[in-house]
Amino acid sequence: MAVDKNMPVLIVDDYSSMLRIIRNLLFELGFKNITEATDGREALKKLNRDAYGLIISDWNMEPMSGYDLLVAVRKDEQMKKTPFIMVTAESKVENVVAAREAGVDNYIIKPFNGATLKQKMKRVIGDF
Amino acid sequence: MSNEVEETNSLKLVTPGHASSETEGRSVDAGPGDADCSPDGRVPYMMSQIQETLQTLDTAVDTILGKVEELHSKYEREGLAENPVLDACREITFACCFHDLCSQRLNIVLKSLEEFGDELTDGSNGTREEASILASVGESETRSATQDVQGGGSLLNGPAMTGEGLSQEDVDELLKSFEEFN
Repeated sequence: MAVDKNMPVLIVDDYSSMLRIIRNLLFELGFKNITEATDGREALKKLNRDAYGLIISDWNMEPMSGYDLLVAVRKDEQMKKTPFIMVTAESKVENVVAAREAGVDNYIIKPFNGATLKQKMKRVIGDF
Repeated sequence: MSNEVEETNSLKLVTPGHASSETEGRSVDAGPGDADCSPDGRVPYMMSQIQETLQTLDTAVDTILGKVEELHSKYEREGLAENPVLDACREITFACCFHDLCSQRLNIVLKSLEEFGDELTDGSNGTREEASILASVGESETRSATQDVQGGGSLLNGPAMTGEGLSQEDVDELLKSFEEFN
């Protein structure tokens, strides 16, 4: 089944430039329903208010990290199945393992390019 | 433009904010002028330099992305989706990831300098060991779940140094091995 490009996507990063980079690519891919948050806590508030079809989050943010957001999302009955892609500069094995064990669907290392993000999105939400 | 050059400790120091130009020999912006060259004075000076750099990076990236977005919209409106300019726009956009990565590195240095400055201040009131103990207590109190995961070391390390850390291909392999295992 084709992906509904009108689905709401939540992007989370504490750097406005990263939000802009990811938003621009999503727009180009046809995803126009995009919401932004600058840390896990703000993202969680938005997730509690609305349902999202995909979360793309950074790891290293304050006060609530992307990892803590992932754990909170997976614990919540309503949102635990929401696809979650981590986009981060944290590139140690233990980070990837911890994220995987917490239930991340895919993991992108910064710096990245449009092709990588598109490819990982397809793996997580299906072809579009 | 004339710089306010002053002679201090045999180095020609240029007042912060003014570019160094002429001079034979060593004209460098080496510190906070003659205001306070003690370690206590240099740490805040170094921190302010880094903060200024972070601010400059923010402004520059904002301008670059703004212009690229303008260009991108213009070419897209004209229906030139396969235009090489659009490809260049995409590449420039993703190259701007440097902002996040460089800022993270600079923030690590900034935080270390702040802790170092605190230790110096605390050290003047007590012993270095006491300051170190106090710093580590503060550190443990502010640990998040991210830092405590699996009881191991911190998972907040920032960008890896060149040659260290996993590549995207390594990560893909690792994730694939999880799938195979399950």
